[in-house]
Order: sequence, then C-alpha cells, then structure tokens
Amino acid sequence: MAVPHFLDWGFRYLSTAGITDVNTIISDLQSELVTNGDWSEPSAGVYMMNPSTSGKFAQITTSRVSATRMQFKCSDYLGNTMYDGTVDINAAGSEVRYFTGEYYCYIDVQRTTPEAAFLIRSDPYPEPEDMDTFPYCCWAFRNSAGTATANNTLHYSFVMGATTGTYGAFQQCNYNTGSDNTVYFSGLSHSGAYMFLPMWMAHYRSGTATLGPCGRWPNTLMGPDLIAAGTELDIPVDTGVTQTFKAIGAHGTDGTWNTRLLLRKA
Amino acid sequence: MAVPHQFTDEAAHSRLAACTDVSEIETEFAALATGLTDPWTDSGGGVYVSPVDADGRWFDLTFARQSATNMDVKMRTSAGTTVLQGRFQKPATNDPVDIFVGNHYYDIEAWLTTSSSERAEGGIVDLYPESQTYYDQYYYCITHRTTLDAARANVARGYVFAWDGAAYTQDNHWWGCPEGRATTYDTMLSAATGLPLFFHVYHSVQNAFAGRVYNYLWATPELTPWATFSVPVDNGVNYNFMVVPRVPYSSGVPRAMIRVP
Repeated sequence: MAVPHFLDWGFRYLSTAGITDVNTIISDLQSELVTNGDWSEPSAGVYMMNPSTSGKFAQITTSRVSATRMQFKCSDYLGNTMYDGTVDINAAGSEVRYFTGEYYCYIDVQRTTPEAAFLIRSDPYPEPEDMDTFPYCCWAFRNSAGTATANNTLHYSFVMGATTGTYGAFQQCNYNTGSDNTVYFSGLSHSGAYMFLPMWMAHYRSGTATLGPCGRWPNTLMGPDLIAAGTELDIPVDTGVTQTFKAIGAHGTDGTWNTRLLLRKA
Repeated sequence: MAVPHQFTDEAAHSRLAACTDVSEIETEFAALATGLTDPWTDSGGGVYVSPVDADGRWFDLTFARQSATNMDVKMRTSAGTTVLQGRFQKPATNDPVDIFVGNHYYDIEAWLTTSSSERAEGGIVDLYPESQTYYDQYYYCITHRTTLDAARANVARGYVFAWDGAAYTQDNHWWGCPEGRATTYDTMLSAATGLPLFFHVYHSVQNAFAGRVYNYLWATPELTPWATFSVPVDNGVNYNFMVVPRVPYSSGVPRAMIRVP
C-alpha cells in the first residue's frame, strides 16, 4: 500500500489566538507561506503559489481594510480574478487557524460563526501534474463590501465557469451515500465508525457546459458533521500510517450533506 | 500500492450472442460459476451455491424457467432467508445476454436494445477494511420483474433490495461517486484531460456505509453501454470493466461497470 497521493503533500499548521488587528493575519501568512513555505511574495501582502513547470500559479492579495477586516482576493496566472472577498475578526480578538502547504492556504477564523478564506490547487494525480488549465478554487466568507457571501457551506467554492476567464461559485463534488434520497451523507459505517473520503474539486470543462472533476484537495478529507469543529483525529491513511487532521469550523459543513471538512495538522 | 480489496474477487463473463431460450442462460451461468478457481456448487434442481468465503459467507440462487423468454431467480442468504425472488425476461428475438459471475456476486443482463436490458443481479458486499462479519445482512439483490412478471417500479442501477433494519427492501442503496446536487455536476470526465474517471461503488444500509460492491465501478454517463475499458487499479495493474446499462436513481447519472476477464 502507500499513502494516497493527495495526502502526501508537505503541510504546516499554525494557530494564533487573540488577534485584534488583521495585520497579524497578513504577517502570519507571510511567515507560514513564504518564510517557512515555498510560496513567494512578489509584492507586499501578495502571496503567490510556487509556479508549475509550465508557469501556472494562483495568488492571494491581502490587505488591511480595517483592524477587523482583511481583503482576501484570489487570482490566477492569467490575471483572472477568482474572487475578491474579505474576512472579519472580532474587535475583542479572534483565534485564527492557518492550514497551509505547497498548493493550499486555508484560514479558519474562530468567531461565533467561523469565517473562511482559502485558495487551493487540486491534486490531479494520477492525471498529469500540470495538464489542467484552471485547477484552482477559492472562497472568502464575505464579499469586498463585507457582506456575507452566498452559499457559505462546504461544497461551494469559486472555480472556472462555463465562460472562459470567468470564475463563479459552484458546488463541488459531494458524496451522496445515504440509502435513501433524504439522507445524503452519513459519514458513518454501519458499524458506527467514521468514514472519510477525498474532497474532489470540479470546474467547467473548456468549451463545454458540464462541470467535471479535476482532482482532490491536498491534505484534506471529508467526514461526518458529527465531528465537532476543532476536533483533532488520528486517521489511518495507509497500513500502519496515521495522520492528524483537524476539523474545520469555517465553511467546514453543509447541513444538507451532513459533512465536515478536515485538514491535515500533523 | 495494492489492488483494492473489492477487486480481488474472481471475474468471469460470457455473452450468449443469440439466446433463444432462457435455459441457455442457466447452462452458461453454471459453466461460468462452477468453472471459477474457487467455484460455486451446482446442487441440482436449478440451485447454485456461491463458494463459502474465508469468513463463512455465502448465498444461493435458484433458477426456474417459466418459458423460453422468462426466468425466475430466487436468492437466499446462508441462513435460508429469501432476499428476493423475481424474474427477468428476454426479448422474443434472439438478442444477446451477458452473464457476469464472481465468487460473491452474479449479474445477468438480457439485452432489450443496444442501451438497455432486463437484469437479475445479487451478491454479498465487501466490508473490508472492517470485519466481513460485523453484521449479517450483507446481501443485495434485484430482478427486473416481480414473480407476477410485473416490471418493478424502479430498476435503476443501485436501486436494489438490501437490509433496512427489519427486512430486505428496495431502496437507493448504491452510492459512492462524487456528485453535485441538482445538475451542477454532471460528468465524470476529467476537466483537464477529458478522460473518464472511475469510482468505487459503495453499498449503504440504514443510511450508513456498508461495504463496497465486488468488481463494480461507477463510470461517467458519456460511456456507451457494453463498451469495455481497461482501468488501472494499481501501479502497473489494469483490469477490464464492461459498461452495463441503466443509470442510478436520482441525482447524478453515473453508469455501472462490471469487471470482465
């Protein structure tokens, strides 16, 4: 056996408590992605993924809108804006959890209603590493005006749409595993054990009106929403190999699909 | 890497190119099933017993010819409980019939057109990596028609009889491919390459995962029924799978594929 390819990426995890100014988030991202990761910072507050062999990448532009609001704008290597959004923290301070790796950056802001911002490049394995034109998805809890983005649930993200160059918020791949048509995903074995599945990304196929799969989220699993946000689990990923995953609070569930997102922590 | 556990079942397949009488189907099924390395047992009288696996699991089938075009099939558990009894019919014309048999399953597809069939299928699911015996109701079965020859209300692929906590009832028991709600996700062709992607077929009972179906895969609906694909199942290992008709119930429109030699 072997560790599944989509779970075999480098990773970092950081939690910073009591953040009262989003400049701390911006500097934390610089530390996690650039100083300790392999992203670059072409200009202040702009964090760019390591380009692929053909030069494809996506990047995050961060800026301080106010002490409690940070811009999180994602764009691809062609200059297409994927989404220009924001996230808020509490004026009294919020814990922010950062899950990062070579091809992903997921921010889980701890508030009464947690807020998410992320940029992810899918792992297309076993398809060729650099074949997909638009293997990126992103999200931000709020739009640029600070209003909550519609469909703040796990399965939505901004991906390439049917019109080339235009990204839109579309549902990603769900697993309908119930034995009727009202219970979509129990995430449980009949024995009562948790079941975990890959989180698949999809985008519109070039020149078609169909949304097709384009690989798995790196270092990410989908489990049942019985798992509380913040829970850490050691999950077997190969014979004799476990990895530690942490349940996401922001954008981490979907009430219809009963799912919970988990990202690798250790 | 390793070949996924549910593909370790043997896979036999035969096509009767011009079946004139359903008795030919039983004869061919018997030849395939008893010819496996770990063979079924022909108990006589149309009764065939699947091989007892390492965990003591097995089931039996009873074939009963009703007419040249109508076959009755009954599937029972190892405890003698009937999972389902029903029938399938073949057209009066001498159309093909495909028969798939493994150690834990069978499927008979009597062609109606080049894209649809009447079928009878059933088997035991693979509970790996959990204990194969953590519960006893690991059977599934479907026949296109009832014992009164009425077509069942839903014969979509995956809409099988399985345990509901009290009895074997028909429901939408097979899932597992990633899909979108509504119509937003409607292909399993790779967005990057356009190549078809394949996914495990999960069985569910009482709204919980309850194993995988031996030697089955979900495939994208663009694939043509009866086409055969060589699918990589491990590093350097490919198995052949044949697309069979009928799409699953409800959202998502994948097709099923069954392993062939």
